[in-house]
Order: sequence, then structure tokens, then C-alpha cells
Amino acid sequence: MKVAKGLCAAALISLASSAWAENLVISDIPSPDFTEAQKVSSDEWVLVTEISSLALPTAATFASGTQRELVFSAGGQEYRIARADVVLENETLVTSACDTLALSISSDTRSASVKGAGESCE
Amino acid sequence: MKPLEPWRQRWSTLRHKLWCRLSVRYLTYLALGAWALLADPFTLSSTSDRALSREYHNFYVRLSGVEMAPLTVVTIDAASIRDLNADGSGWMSSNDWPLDYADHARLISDLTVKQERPPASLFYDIYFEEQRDASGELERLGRRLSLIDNRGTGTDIVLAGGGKPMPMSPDAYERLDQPRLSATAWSGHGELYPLSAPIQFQDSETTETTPTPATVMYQALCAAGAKECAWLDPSSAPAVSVHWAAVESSECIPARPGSHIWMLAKRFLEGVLQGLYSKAEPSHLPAKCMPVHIVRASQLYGDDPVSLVPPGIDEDAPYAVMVGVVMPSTHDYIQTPVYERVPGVLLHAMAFENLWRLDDGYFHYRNMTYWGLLFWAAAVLLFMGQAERRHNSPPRRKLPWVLLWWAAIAGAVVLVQLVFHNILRIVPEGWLSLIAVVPLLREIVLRNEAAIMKIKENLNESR
Repeated sequence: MKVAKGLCAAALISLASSAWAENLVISDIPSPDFTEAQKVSSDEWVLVTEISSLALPTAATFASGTQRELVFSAGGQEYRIARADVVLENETLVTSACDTLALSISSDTRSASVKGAGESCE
Repeated sequence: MKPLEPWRQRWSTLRHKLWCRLSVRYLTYLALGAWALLADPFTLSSTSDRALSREYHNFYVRLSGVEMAPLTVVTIDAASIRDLNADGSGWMSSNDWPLDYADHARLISDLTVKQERPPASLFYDIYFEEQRDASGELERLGRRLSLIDNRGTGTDIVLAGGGKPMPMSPDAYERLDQPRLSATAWSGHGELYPLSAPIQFQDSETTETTPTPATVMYQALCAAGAKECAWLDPSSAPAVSVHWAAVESSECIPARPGSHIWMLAKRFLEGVLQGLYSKAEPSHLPAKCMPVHIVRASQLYGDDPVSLVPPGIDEDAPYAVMVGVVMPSTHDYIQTPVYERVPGVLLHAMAFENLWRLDDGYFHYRNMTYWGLLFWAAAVLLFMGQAERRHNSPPRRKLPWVLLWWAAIAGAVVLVQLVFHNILRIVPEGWLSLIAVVPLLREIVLRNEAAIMKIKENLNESR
């Protein structure tokens, strides 16, 4: 079962050309005791450790309309999980050369604009 | 004119008679002082007091370095977000602030349950004021917090709770599953850091007083067995006057006496010759001198991660973690006397450091204006007496004596300030401006007294 899943995953990887491809592979879930996935059919939250049929690595796709959620199957059920809660096959971390942060800004700094979209209503 | 002439003369004589009386002159000088200190014309007295207080603070901080506090500040900065997002191939879905709620959940999990040596307490200095649809579902974060609370490693997680100036949405509070909140916005304390402040929910008049983040962290470490904190009653203890200390190192407070004294002398000269340096303020210490362990969020990941545990603490000693955003465009900066403007989370960090290092001996504000008046009253008497003496034996050298007197007065005020600061642990206001005002007083009083004595002499001679 596991071998079959592994082969399936390998096939998926070979098809995937970049991280933005539809088919992804979840290689690990860092804190399974504290991570929940949501059943697509019933919107019920389930702890990852309680999904007995889940075997990693497993294939996943981005949920429709968003890059922030993944959908994977386990035991015939489809589950939704946050992208941030999993480790994907081709996941990378860029370690920047910047070790020290510019923490302070000069006393006479002034800024008069808002960051990002600001809907305000008086 | 003529009919008024006798009245004018009477008035003139009366004025003269009054002014010749010692008590009248004394009360006039006293009133002048009271006006300068109490009425605070054009806020000159309080402004000069604050400026001198800031200089004193800078000097005092540089006198000796302090040890690192058992606190780590994790910064969510632009570079960290970019690193963790890694152009879409990293775990962080967001590539800019504000982060997705799922990203917050992952970060909090990694800082608590995934740690081999988890912190005793985690303060997340990010205010989830309202459910923001663009960031996902707040319930996700709420469920994670509850899971960690119920099954986790005992880390106490506290979120920023806003305050009366910015009330939280009750809907957001419910979606987060009623987390532990700590007030992070308050008014009415000036530059001081209160130990507790009220939080409020939108569309509601009721407020709930919560301890502020520094207090929460301190109480958490006490509860973890680090020390005894029976003295702390957040609702009644006075606000902290944050003392922006620095660690001992060659770039901060040098250990070697030679470089240390040179640094103090340089700072003093910069202070007294400030205008010549064409800068807004004299040189500041770099922010890395703060006695807390500061780590960028992305440094906790990767092949060679930095440890979350602050360096220098004992094997099993508990420690606290604060997470905050360092991003100039988000405006969360506060002005400090020693470190220029720093991100808001560091205010909480320094307040905690003060509480940790000084316990119930932390610096607090006391209005000493009335003591200043008392000192003024004594100084006036002293100068009136000195005028009498000078009249009988005029001084030979003028300028050096003036400078010496100024130095003596400044020295006396600084000495008393040391007593207030070191022994009584109070940061007085309404006191230091005397350094500027008293020398002037001396000249006014002496000149006036000299003039009076001359008039008296002339009167005696004419009789």
C-alpha cells in the first residue's frame, strides 16, 4: 500500500514542473497532534492524528480559487488543510544574508500614509 | 494731572516702603519661582525638565551594563516573510504583512509545541481586531490556540488585546475561542508603562482590566518557579518609568574602564555641545544593545536555525517569548530616549526586563514640583543672605565665580536627583528645570538686593 502510494507520488512529482503546478506532494505534517484538517463534505474539523488512513507522502492539490489551502484524500474522504501546516516535496527556505535587522529608526522619522488597503468610514 | 499728583506720590512712597521690607521682596521672588514651576508658562519648565531628564537617563544607562533578560523577541520582518514564503515555494502562504491566519497558527505552533524546551509564556504582539476575510478564517487560529492550550506543553499563550482607544470586535474574540488577552493600547499614562489597563469590546461600555504584556510575562515566569512575586498587584502598583538599559559589550557599554570613561565623557560633551553637531539629538546606542535576545522569524528555520532560548540562562530556567512585527510602514514605533525609535514590541520587552531586573524596585514617576518649590524657597534665602555679604565685601573676580556657582548648583541638583533615582527609585518631574532656573534666580536676586541696599544707604545718608 505504501509502495503504491510512493510510486504514485513519484509519478506526480515527475509530472509537476514547478511549485505552482496543480499536483503537489505533502511529505510531512510538522505538528500532527495540533493540526486539524477539515472534511470537504461536512466541514467537520478532524485532528490529523485521527485520520488513520493518512499515509505520508500523499498527493494534494490547491483548493479551487486559493493558493493557501490544499486538498488531499485519505480513506475515501477529501480533506482541506492549510498550506502553512504542511511540508511540501519541493519546499524551500531562502536564508537571506541578513542576520541583523535594522531595529531602530531615527527620531525625526515621520510617515503619513497607511500600509495596504485601507477602507475607512467616518 | 495736577489733582492726581499727590496720589501718585503716595503710591510711589508706598511701593518704596513695601519693597524695602524683606518679607515683601522674599514673597515676590517666591511667587516668581512658583509661577515658573507650577504655572509652567509656555511649558518651558516641563519641557526643560523632560529634556534634562532624558539626558540624565542617557548618562545613567551608560554607567553600567546589565545582564540579558530571560526573554526572546521574535521579529516578523519583511525579510523574514520573504524568506519563509520563498517566492511561493516556502511554507508561508503570505508574501507580505498582514499574514494569513494559517501562517500565524503555524508560527505559534512552531514556537511552542515544536520546541524541545518550550517557553513558559508566549506573548503574540499582534492585535486580531477584526476578522479579515482576505487573511482566511480566524477560527482556524482559534482552534489551534485551543488545541495548544488543552493539550500542549504548558506554554501560556497571550494575544494583544487592544484597549479602550481601539476596542476589539466581539466576533473576532469568539472566533479566536476566547483567548487570553493583554491590553496593548492605553491612554492617560504619558510615557509611562502601566502594569494593567482596561480592554473593551466594540458596541459595549463594559471594560475588563487585564495586566499588560510585561506584567503577564513576569507573572508567568514567577509561576514557573523562577522567583517570588507576592509584591506584584497590577491593579494598584504605579506605572513603570521604563529604563532603557544596555548590555555590557565593546559596542554598547564597554567593560574596560578606559573606553568606558571615554564613552561617558564623549556623551557628556555631545550633550552640552549639542547644537554644534547639527543633529536632532546626540548619538544613540544601537538597538542590538538591548538586553533581550532578538531573533528574526526566518532564523528559526532552515539548516542552521538559531535557538529560541535566550543565551546565558540556566539549564532548566524558564524563559518568555514575545512575537512582534518590525516593519517601518506599519507605524508601530515608539520613541525612546536611548535607542531612538524602536518597534512597539520592544517597549513591552524592556518593561519586562525592568520588572525582572529590579522587581519591586522599578522606576516610577513622582511629581516633585512642590519639593522643587521648597528648594527654590531655600535658594532665595541663601542668595538674599549672600547679597548682604557681597555688599559688605565685593567680589574681586566675576566670571569664574559665576561659572563655579552654576556648576555648584547643577552639582547639588544632580546629587539630589541621584538620591531620588537610586535610593527612592523615583523619576521626578518638576525638579531638573531648577538647574536652568536657579542660576538665573541668583543673578536676579543679587542684583535686586544690591540695588535695594544702595537705595537704603542713600536714604540713610540723606537723613
